[in-house]
Amino acid sequence: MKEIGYKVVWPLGKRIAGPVALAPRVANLSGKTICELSDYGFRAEEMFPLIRTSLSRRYPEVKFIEYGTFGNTHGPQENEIIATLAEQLRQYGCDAVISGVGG
Amino acid sequence: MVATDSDEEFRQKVTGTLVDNIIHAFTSKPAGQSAGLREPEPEQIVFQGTLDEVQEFFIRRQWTDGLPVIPPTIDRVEKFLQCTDRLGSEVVGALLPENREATVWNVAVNGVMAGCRPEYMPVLLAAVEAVSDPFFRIEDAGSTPGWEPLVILNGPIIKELNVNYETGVMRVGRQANTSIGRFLRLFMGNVAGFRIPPGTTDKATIGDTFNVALAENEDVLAELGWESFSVARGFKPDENVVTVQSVVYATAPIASGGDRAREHLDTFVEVFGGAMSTWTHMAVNWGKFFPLLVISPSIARVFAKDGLQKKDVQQYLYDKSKVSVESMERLAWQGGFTGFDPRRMVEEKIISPVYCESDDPKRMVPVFLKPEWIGIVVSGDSGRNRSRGYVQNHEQGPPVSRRIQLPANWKQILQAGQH
Repeated sequence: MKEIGYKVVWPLGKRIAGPVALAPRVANLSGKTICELSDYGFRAEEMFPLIRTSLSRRYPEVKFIEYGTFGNTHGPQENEIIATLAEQLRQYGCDAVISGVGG
Repeated sequence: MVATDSDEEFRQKVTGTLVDNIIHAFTSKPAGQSAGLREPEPEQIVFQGTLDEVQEFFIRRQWTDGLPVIPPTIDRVEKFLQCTDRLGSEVVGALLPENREATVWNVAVNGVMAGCRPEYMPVLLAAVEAVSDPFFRIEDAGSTPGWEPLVILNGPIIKELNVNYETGVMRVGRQANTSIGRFLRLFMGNVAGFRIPPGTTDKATIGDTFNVALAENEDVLAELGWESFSVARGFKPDENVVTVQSVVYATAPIASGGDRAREHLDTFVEVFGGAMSTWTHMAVNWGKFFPLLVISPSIARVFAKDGLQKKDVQQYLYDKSKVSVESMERLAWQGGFTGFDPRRMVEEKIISPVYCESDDPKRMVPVFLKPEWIGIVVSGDSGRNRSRGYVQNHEQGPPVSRRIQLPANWKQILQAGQH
């Protein structure tokens, strides 16, 4: 018996946004300002001090804006914080951001 | 894995690998992004073959949930589109993290694949509208605990579509409950992009299977003079409503007995409140918590006989269910919330001051954030005394409801569907 053939369509949907251009990188971190973003979890309170110490040893002029400045970027007030984050990062003269560190 | 590292392992990883990677990411030009493959148009035929060949084609592309699917042919999709007044091209929402359009068309396509009947289409559309609401945060459906959406139905459509609200209500078996639940999981894979490995976005540690759709026994509600789950959420009694909320895990079946409400309530506090207490740290951390309690009709009748409404049950559970701060803080730290700080949450007015009335770690605090946030649905076998609780994942997947939009020719559609 010959089997029926099915002509089928695609079950996904069109992507809303295409690839986004990545921000330019810095030549080195000396004299740069690094902003920290955190969800206040996954040992951030231990991790960020270790990162600061390590980077400062290699780049003595590096400056940090600590994550407490910005609030919890993945918490109950996330939407409000994210809405003003770009402006805040500009205000602090941010050259680079550390974010998305999880466990 | 920071939660299981010793202090020394953690320090070495951070000051070694992590710091090296941070420097590399900041100072090295990343490889250029590819434009990606051109994707098909919605009505484009992407494959032609036998039933087995279609299954293989879909499985290889991770377009299935691992079960066989009904081949989504244009004829079948169009039958679904005939059950809505909305155009196939209408965009219902956008689903993160893959950031794809949810359209009336691809709702129909996935409905076909999941084994739905065409007349379920208005329910499927309302469910997708609900999860497309940014408040629902579908982008977090791949988070570590591995939650699943649960569809809850209210209104006359329950009977019109032959949805089970009696014995074995949360089991696979009845076509409407099963295929509507399956549809939403399939849609989350295909449109939101949550696929288990070799996919990339589903990070559930263990996870669970999809939930079948839950319907409330509105005959019993009418008999008892109780309001429905959807009325409690602000809808009118005769409106058809879909609510979707996250479920992380279910309690054991709650066996409560006796002919007085108090006996049942105390058992609910012990079993339901006890099970929910292992998630209170998450609730406090995020400021949201919407657990669900499904009560079988015979128990609801005992409550009603003693003059209780759903809100009285909610209040009792809220007042009596407690957890120690010590336990909450331990579970929070082990769950990764190492900066867990109820005092900060109180200062930011996210939770009630009741959580910080003293510094005694053994003090007992409420398991639930608000009594009205405990959802209650009456469903299941009328002849048995079991209830069940469902833990909801705080800010991720809070209940979102949508009124079901029926097409103008709904009655003819139902007649054709022989319900």
